[in-house]
Amino acid sequence: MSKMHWNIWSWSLAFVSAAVLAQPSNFPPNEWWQPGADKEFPAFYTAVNAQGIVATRLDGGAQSVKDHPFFKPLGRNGRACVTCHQPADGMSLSVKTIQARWEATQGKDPLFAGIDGSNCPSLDQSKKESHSLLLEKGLIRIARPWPPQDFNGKKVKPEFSIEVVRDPAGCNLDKSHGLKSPAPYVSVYRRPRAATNTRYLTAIGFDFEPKTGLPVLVDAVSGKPTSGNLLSDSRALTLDAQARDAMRWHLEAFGTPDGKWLDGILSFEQKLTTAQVYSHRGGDLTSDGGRGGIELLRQAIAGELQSTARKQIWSEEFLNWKSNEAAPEDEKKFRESVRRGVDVFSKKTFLITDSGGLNNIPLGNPLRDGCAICHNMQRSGMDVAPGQIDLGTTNLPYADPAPHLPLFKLTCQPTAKPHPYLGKVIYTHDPGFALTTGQCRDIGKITMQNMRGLASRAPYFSNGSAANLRAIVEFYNRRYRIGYTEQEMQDLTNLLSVL
Amino acid sequence: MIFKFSHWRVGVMLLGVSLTNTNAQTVTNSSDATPLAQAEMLRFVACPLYRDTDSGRKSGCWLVTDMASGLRLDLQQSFTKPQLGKEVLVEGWLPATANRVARDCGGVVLEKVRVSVLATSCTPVILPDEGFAGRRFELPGSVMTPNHLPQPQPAKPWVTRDFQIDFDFGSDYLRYQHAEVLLQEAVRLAILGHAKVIVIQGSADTVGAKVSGKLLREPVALSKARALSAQEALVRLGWPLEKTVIQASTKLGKRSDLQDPWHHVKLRRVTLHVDINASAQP
Repeated sequence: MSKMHWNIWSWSLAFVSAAVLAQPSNFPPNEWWQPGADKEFPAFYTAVNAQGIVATRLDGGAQSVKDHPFFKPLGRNGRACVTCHQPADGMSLSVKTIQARWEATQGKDPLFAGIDGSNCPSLDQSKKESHSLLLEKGLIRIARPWPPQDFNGKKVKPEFSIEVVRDPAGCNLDKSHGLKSPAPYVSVYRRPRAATNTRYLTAIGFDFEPKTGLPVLVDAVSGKPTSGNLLSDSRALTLDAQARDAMRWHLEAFGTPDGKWLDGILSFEQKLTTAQVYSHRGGDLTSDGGRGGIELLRQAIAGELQSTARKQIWSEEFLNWKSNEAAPEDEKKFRESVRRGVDVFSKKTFLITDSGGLNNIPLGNPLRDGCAICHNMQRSGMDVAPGQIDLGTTNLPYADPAPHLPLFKLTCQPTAKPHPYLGKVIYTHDPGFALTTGQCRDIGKITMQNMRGLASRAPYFSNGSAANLRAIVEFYNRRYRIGYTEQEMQDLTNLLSVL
Repeated sequence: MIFKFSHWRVGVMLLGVSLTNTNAQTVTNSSDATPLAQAEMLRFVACPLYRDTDSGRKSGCWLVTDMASGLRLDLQQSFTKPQLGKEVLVEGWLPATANRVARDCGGVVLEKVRVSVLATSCTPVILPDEGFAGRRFELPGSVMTPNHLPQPQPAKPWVTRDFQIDFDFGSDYLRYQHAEVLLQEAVRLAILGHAKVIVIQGSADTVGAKVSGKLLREPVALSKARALSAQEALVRLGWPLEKTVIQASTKLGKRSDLQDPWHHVKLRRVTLHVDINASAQP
């Protein structure tokens, strides 16, 4: 049997069995990929989620994961990359999976390692409440050095001072891990990003970055331009740098990483494509004119700007996704809703205001535009320019109430240029990009994420503030006073559910 | 040249402005020449108004009222759009009287207009559309070619050329949809033409003037800051740092230059002099 036939056969089998099993709710916990397992990663991996089925395709066919560096523990805490980048969760990690893992192991899984799988390493790790941010919001502790360090690990003189206003997790005031510890750190709490669709994460639409008014940053090691789209605070410019950062901080693998490990991790990540392939309500995303799912995503040019292509984003995937006459009414209605969602996403305009990284470049404040002004990269919904924007997910006053998160007061130096809309004193749950650049204008800027396979990895936004897909739409509606109708809200939510 | 209510208001007739004194070919994507016969140059500070029209993306209108004439003016042609609640320096050409018609946004379109956002606050005002349609967004004529498409290369002959990059008042920000095209073309020309060096000449409006009762004068240090921005950009685009030379002007302008109403705008720029080595051409 040829490889292509095998792939189609295996996909069909997986699709049918998963569709039969699929129920909108109460589906069993997905498969947990245990570090160090002796098994095979299939050419086409599928898993059920609340909205349907997500798939990850591995180019080159099935591969044994035994002793593979993405799958085996590389450091002292027993974790592997796969611990936080689970295939069933679209190569990220959902709260549902985290909670199931706690129940299955009574918190003994390496996922809950004190270094970052708890609210603070100093807490009693045997207590469930010490892991509340991970268990309830899916948040991993990210310890950023203070004063900040840039992309190359060089110390940056910050334009602002930082004070801890509130510290419910206790780590920022901790004697060993806090801002006043011998090696000071700022602890922020963020969702693991999806380690897949890397062609899109690293794509550079243009060589120029309007937010800084300079060409994109060049990697000091390779001398090549970089996308700036890898991490929330863009502290790593390349997949290699990201892997090194993750090995050091999340796996507690100290010393110089083995070059073969890095090659193996990068090679594996670069062969992955992930997307939702089936909808419980809409059916197969690749049938009846639909081009959702994997193949278009896998084959298309990465980094294509939607307005340059003269095709609205998501149109090739879903504008022709229609039902035949004999199809159930619910399916027809759902597909209609997704098609409307495509139009709302790119054509419904609203006043975008006070968003650092967008309004303060010469586009103006306010700016009438739509979702696609930032989510402008065909297929992925990322930004073709480095996507650091202050939407207000972490900065007050726009951030939703988050009593579980630390709150910082950042005060800009008298000579520093202030944050463009929040002035010189900013309250934030996560300074974001400013922890890499040290600049006031970057406070609260968070790099946007790849939008494919969203349904598999709730909650959303870097700090998990949106519990589900609908909550994402509600945040934007509130933040920009868009005034979506109920139908528009539902249409957008349905669109997000099939990406 | 006359002063009226502290505004520059200069009537001119087809004023052609010589851009540089060098023999090099000069390239810019924002013409310095006066666009219209009998146009009148305006230079003033005001509080911008936003009219919330909706003809699709980026179609909202930016307006301003010229206190001297009372005219409502349309700033849409400016690269830089205002920030609501921040004063702006407006520099542009008011069309001849016969053409002063309020169009899609409800204001007379200022030609070749430059908007610079100032640090001073003013009252934020959003107007309803009041029946005005706004203007559909169109990409500027000169934008970068996306990386996934074949990239344009400078046409032969590859000769020594100057590229002029304009800046907003008080800013060293390399303006999106203006500077990047020039910088990229300059680097490509330099590489193809085996340029010995790119000379980066920064300047600032250190002469200054009172505009709408405010003294607007740029600091001398801004000349160098602009040149350094351009240098950083060239290096990131692949041009070797050691083949750049910075010449930041620290001189104050001449009084005689003030005869040219566009003089202040022309001082806010960086000139990239790409010195092609003709003997090294293939």
